[in-house]
Amino acid sequence: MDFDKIKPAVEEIQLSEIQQEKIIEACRNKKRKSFNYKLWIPIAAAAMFAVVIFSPGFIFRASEADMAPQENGKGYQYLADNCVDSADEEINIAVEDYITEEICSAQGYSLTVSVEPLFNSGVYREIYSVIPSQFVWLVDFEEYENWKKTVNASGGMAMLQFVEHFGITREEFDSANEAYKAYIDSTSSGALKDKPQNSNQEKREIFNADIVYSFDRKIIDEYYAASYK
Amino acid sequence: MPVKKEKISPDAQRAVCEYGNSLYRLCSVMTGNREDANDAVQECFLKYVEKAPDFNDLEHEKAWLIRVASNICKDILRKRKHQSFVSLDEIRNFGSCEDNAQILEMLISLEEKYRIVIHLHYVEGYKAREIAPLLGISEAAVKKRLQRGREALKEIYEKEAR
Repeated sequence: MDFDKIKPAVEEIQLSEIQQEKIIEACRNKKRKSFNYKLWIPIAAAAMFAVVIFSPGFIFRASEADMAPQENGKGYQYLADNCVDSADEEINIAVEDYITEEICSAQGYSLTVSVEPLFNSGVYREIYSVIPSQFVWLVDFEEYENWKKTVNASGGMAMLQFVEHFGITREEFDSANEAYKAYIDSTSSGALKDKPQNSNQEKREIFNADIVYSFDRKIIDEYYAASYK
Repeated sequence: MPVKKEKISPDAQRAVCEYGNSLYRLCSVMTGNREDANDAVQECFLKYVEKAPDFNDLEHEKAWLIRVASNICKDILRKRKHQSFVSLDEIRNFGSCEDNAQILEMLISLEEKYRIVIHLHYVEGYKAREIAPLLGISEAAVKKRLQRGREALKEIYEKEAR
């Protein structure tokens, strides 16, 4: 496959003069494509008619079932901010947007910050075996999920393996580490500036970029060893 | 009473002439459909006119337009998810010769995330580090997508050759 052929093939695609003129005209009038009322009015009328005939309660009354959180197999959709059960009062159903795990996965990020260990850290501190979400967001989610399956303790610190595999630059690493620090600051009594002194403090530890970027397993293993264990 | 037309800023006209084709190609590859591509380009320039952002230089301006166009195309693709996919005839309309049409067909058949990085790299000539801010992902992710995209293209090519 000759990738140089892509450019000439794609460059054949060009706007015609008429298309260009139409776009310029649209910019001049700041006008979008007109809405096709001829097509949509009968469709909307038919839909309204069907609702009135087959499900009048939908319009005139919000039932208890309508007001309950709706489970659709992917998550709960919460309805009913100001639902009222009288047809005389104004019905105002607020539908909150909800984000399912599926959508998050498809867009390459997870809904919550995860710090699950990828393997048993053994004699090392907890941070030795975790890749927090702030770092996962740097890479393609699907690729991360595939890579995660291949990681084990024999390869050394999880973060070192991650940085080497995905080619994370020091700049990217620092920004993710900063975001991770902000997350710890917001959820506990703050991120540690130094090594933890006991296992209770391990959750507050952030990555030492200089140590990770030494790419020296001996230095890394020595630094992250839980000497108090 | 005649409607008074707003005077077009010379920049908008220049931008359409300068980047119109480039954006149309991007949108065509992203959507695989002429009409959608045309709508996306028009929407992109309308946003350009409405928001009238300040740009540091021409490269900044082009990057902004590419980013907006790719977001519009993603919206179009999201809406189209449950509709039938683009016909081969539609793709063949883009290319004048069979070879080019075949390349376009292969490119458009790639997953969207690979398609856009391949396009920006091989057609627009952007480097991975330049693509990263355009798509809002890391440079490492761009490199991975380029690698996966190339592999996928090779695979399709080999299948077609058999």
